[in-house]
Amino acid sequence: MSDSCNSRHFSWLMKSCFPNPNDNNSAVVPQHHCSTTTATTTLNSLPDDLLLECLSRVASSSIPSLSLVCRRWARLLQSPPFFQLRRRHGLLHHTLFAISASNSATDSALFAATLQLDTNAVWKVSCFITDNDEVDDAVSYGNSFHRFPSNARLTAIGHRVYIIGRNATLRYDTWSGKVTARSPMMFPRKKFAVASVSGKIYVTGGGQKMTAVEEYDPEEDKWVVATHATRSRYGCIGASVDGVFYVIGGLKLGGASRNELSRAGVGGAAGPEAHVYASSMDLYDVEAREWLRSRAVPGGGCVVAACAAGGHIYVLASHAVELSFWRFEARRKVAGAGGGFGEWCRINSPPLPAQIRVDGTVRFSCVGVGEKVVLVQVSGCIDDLLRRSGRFARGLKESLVLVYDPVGGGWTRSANLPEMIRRAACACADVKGPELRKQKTKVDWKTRLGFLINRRMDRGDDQSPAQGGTARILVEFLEVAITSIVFLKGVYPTGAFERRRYMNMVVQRARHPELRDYIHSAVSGLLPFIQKGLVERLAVIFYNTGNTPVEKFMFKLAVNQSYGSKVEEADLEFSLRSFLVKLSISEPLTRTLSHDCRWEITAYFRSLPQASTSKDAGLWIPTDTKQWQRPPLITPIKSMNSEPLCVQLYLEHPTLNEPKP
Amino acid sequence: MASSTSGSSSSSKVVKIRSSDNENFEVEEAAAARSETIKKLLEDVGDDADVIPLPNVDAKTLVKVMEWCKKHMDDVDELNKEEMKTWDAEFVDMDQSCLYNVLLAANFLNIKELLDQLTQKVADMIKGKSPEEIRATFNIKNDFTPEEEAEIRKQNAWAFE
Repeated sequence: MSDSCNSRHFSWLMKSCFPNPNDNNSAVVPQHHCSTTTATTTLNSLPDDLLLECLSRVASSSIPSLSLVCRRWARLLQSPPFFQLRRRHGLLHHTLFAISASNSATDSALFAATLQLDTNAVWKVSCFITDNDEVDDAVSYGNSFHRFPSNARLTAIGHRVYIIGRNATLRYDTWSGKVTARSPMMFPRKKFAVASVSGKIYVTGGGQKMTAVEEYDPEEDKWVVATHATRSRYGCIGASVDGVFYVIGGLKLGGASRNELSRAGVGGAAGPEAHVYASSMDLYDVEAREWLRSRAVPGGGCVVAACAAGGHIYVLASHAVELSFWRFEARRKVAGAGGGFGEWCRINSPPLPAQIRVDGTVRFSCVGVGEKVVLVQVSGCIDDLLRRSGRFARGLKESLVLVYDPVGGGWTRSANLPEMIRRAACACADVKGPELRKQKTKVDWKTRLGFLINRRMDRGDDQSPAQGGTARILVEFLEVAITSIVFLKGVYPTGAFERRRYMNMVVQRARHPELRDYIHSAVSGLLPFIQKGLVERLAVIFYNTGNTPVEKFMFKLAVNQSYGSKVEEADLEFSLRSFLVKLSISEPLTRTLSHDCRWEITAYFRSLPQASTSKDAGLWIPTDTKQWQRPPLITPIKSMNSEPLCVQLYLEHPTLNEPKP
Repeated sequence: MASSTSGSSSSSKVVKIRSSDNENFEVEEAAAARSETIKKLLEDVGDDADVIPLPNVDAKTLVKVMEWCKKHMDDVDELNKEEMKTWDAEFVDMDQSCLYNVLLAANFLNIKELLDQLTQKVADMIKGKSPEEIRATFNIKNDFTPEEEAEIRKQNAWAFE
């Protein structure tokens, strides 16, 4: 509502509360005042802003349905106001993403760590692995990991994070957890600038003649050349505020030698032209399709990190061994005082050890998270002594995460970046707030469940005791791990499982109630014994037709109960998660099973439990499972040895000269 | 939420408003002032206001809105909060056409709290429904081509599992 109206006439009351006449989808023709009734008002006849108000309040679990209703809704759901409203309603949170690709031959995976500043600031790690049933969209998804350069760049549009590498683009939908392959850039770039401006992605630089500015339309999944830049920057940083794409810093390739990179980085005696590149930024007005006047960072430092946040561009510059932090007013229509567009202002430098040489080894990434700026040390170590002695290569990496709050103007330290996230690329996206998803129990298939029930079927009350945090986490983990094994072995059709999140990882969960119950009650029945430290090993054994075990997955356990509940659950989860990662890629190590195999869960006790008072104990009965006559072949999969808990996972196969039954 | 102009004495003061279909209403000023739009007007025109015309709101809708305003005129602390919640829940439980008219009116009259309640009500009606159910409930035409729909479904595959 207008609030500066002093008219005694009421004409300004006509301010539209009617359906937007430009909106073709509205069913009601705009009515003029003095209309009699509006009996036919429907939801879709509401103007966009009111419909958005409604849609933005819908629970997160129903959002996927909304995008399928009609075009107008699908369009509104992708619009910036939708995200703003949801943030205001507390249904979305700015979340910092740090993504890295692991390129080793066995562990080809993509790791994502997320941090929310408004909560208690703990990094959560999740992992995507190329698995067979993910082939749906493109086989290139699987291949792309191998081609995926570790220095991919990230940008986010709403809740979707785009991971843009030299030859591949992935889209990570943070709401559904789905990773999809998208079209790669037209030109293979390296160390380029990327930013998203009003729903589209812009990239430039990153090569000797990479002046082309490419524009990516996520709707069309298409890249086009939007314009050409005057400078081709290598190692530049992209950012955007107010419809302007900023291309910041970087180097000039070609004229100067490759050494320029390190020399310019320390602000040494680099050529004057190269220096211009490193300490300036180019501005491209996306809507007007024109380049604005380029700006130079005051003081002539080389840009080492930059980002946009709250209408400003923040630049971390390096002068030899000294860092300075600058803020550039990037809002083009600033009302009133407070400095106009293009004004630089020096602000508090990040509290790092006084002297750092920011070059190829130590790298920072700057990300705007709402109004705040997060500085992430993505690689290298700061301690100069160590580096000079040549020991930095051993990976003593601080992984500092520092947060600048423009409100107080101060820096605070946040949780360090997890170790497994190496050479990360960072971006900020909108993630939906915590919401408990109700599970649908839908069983529409029947199958033979021919497993040997190694416990009594009369399932008692198996509520876990609250104490014994470590044991409880372990039991939960075992349930997930066993389900993963059964899934991996393909005993049941894929449809028997559904994806679930556990420890922020995608895992399988049995959909069939009987199967789920078997695993759940078998494992949770072990809880009292695990708590007493009686269980030495837990085995998942696969049998062939002749009842001979052909493969055993062994979990060797040792729980130190004296730690009790003092254990950091997060630390424990972190270690256990790596088991699940490893397990999901260990299929090649295992043997193919015959068609009519069976499986069971068997626990090996250190000593036979006394006649127990626990009801759960009754679920387990002694077994005379056939043993192999010769020591088996052992293939280790993963082990962990943290103080309260030691877990080893290995495979057992019969030796070749094992007598045939 | 009582405005600075309406003290204890003004609670008995009455303002006249006229709906789009030319029906006149008399409402206590404290209730009418729940609407920022009316409040602003009253501040602007002072005491010599005659009848405030509300050309966008019909009588039926205006009755509904004023019913809410009257109920929410007093400070909520004095009332039983639970009782108020129940009342609000019953209030927003109206037929759709009426709901949107009240919603439009609440937007026009700038009654934020009512707008919040109504939009939340619509959101709750949408919640948990399949796209087909949403279209049926709200009388929305599916203007996607089958290919487009399949594409979106594919993108949302996880959520549909």
